[in-house]
Amino acid sequence: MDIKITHLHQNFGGAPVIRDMDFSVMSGERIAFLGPNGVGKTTLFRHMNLMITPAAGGVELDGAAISTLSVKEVRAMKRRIATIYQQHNLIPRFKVINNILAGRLGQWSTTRALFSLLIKSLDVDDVRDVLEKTGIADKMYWRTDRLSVGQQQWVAIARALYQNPDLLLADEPCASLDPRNAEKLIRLLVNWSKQHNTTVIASFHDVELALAYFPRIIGLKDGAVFFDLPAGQVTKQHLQDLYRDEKPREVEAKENVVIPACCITPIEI
Amino acid sequence: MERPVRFPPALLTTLILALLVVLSIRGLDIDFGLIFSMQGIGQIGSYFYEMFPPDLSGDFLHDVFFAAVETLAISIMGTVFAIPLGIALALFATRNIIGTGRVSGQSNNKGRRLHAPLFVVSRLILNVLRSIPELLWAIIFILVVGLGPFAGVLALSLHTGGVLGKLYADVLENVDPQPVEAIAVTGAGRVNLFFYSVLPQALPQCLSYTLYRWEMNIREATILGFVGAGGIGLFFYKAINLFYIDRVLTLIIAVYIMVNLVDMLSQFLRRKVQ
Repeated sequence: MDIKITHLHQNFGGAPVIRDMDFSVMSGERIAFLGPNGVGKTTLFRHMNLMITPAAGGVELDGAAISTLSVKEVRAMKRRIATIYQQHNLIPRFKVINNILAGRLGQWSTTRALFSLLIKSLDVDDVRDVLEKTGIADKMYWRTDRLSVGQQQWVAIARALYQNPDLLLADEPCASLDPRNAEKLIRLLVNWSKQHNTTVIASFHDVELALAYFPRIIGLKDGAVFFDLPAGQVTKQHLQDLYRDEKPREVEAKENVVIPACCITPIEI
Repeated sequence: MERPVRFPPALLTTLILALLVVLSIRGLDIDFGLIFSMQGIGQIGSYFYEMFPPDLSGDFLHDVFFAAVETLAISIMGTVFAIPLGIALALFATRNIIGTGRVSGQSNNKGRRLHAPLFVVSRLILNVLRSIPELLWAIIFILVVGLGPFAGVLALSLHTGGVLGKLYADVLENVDPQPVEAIAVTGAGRVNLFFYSVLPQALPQCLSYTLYRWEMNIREATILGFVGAGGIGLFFYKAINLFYIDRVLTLIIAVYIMVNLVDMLSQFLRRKVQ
């Protein structure tokens, strides 16, 4: 899926979180976002997975401007986009398999959803496939809250892959993983992207990992693109400037502000 | 922006509550001396004395047993009927499900405006159902369906339905929104989203509340008979008013056993669902 962000602007009643942002992404590209906390990365991800609509400017996915899509088209688009969060955001009481099946809930009828909850799942093989890729196939029927935090993050990753997305967004997916698992996750995302021509956009705090595995790096600062370079051209100076603290701390909290209901895109019943 | 210094709310609340307590004491002729006067102690003592031995005659025990079973049945059916009533009202009384909040991902579209009145109306109905006590509902239903346990069941159902509806709605509103959103971004529809993310989070707490209300209903069902709405209460009423004081003790023992059995069973089940 290709993406075009033009003059994107967003503020939630206060100082702008994103100001006049521009960049575009080709289908199958792998991009890492770098930048200090509170530069609007999470908000940017929420624009790309259609949870919020822009205050100004445009987001285009595969040539379709998001603001012009009908409720039904938005839902169809959402099915093609998977998101991995910092926290796993799973249902703790579910078995692992049900948490993973949730990835395709958008394609399922209610009958099928209830059947998979109450009786049994029909897609065990598909689920086992993604679980094997994430290395926790033996935990398929475990209750999710009995897994360690790291294992739960792998379940969340498996759920995103099970969705079989055209665009895979990962907002600091390594936050709860040790360095070895973090690298394993990034390798998995890269391989998956190559095999399925999936566009992958991920944000990281581990600069080394990002530079090692992602061909293109976008540095974000103060709600705008600070640099947009091939990984090979990112210098130490770029990174120092990126992470230098120049603005007062108060802006940092802005990203966690509860988003007013009016900013959330509708989903269809 | 600097907020003006206000009277500390906690202190204000405490003062208001204290004032209410003082006014209540003055308005209610509360006099603990009456209990501990010679006359008071004598009354209690003779009442206790006459309770023994409890009436354990076969005929009476037989009657008490079936009255207790009827009470139990009233409490069960009063709770069972309350569940669908509570669910139906709770679904409309929940902001995130009806689509006025962020969990559903609903925006400021037509659906939201349509649903706002439903939300207000269902909250209103819940409040009315809850604020009328069971005994009053019982008296109302005796006028409608006549004396007997059916009136008791209806009375319990309506009051409990109001309470459960409120509790269910609160539980549904308080589910962790993040897992819900994590599934909503995959394009899942509202109904699927509810069954796959909201309900599984809310279900244990809802079941627990329901069982707890059943415990309360068994107690409530014991006094419904005072107004003629079935159960063991009628026997209490007769024994007290006709001064069969030995029978009062038998009934107290019966209620004690029954209520404790239900409590134990309910608590066992509540531990199971957590």
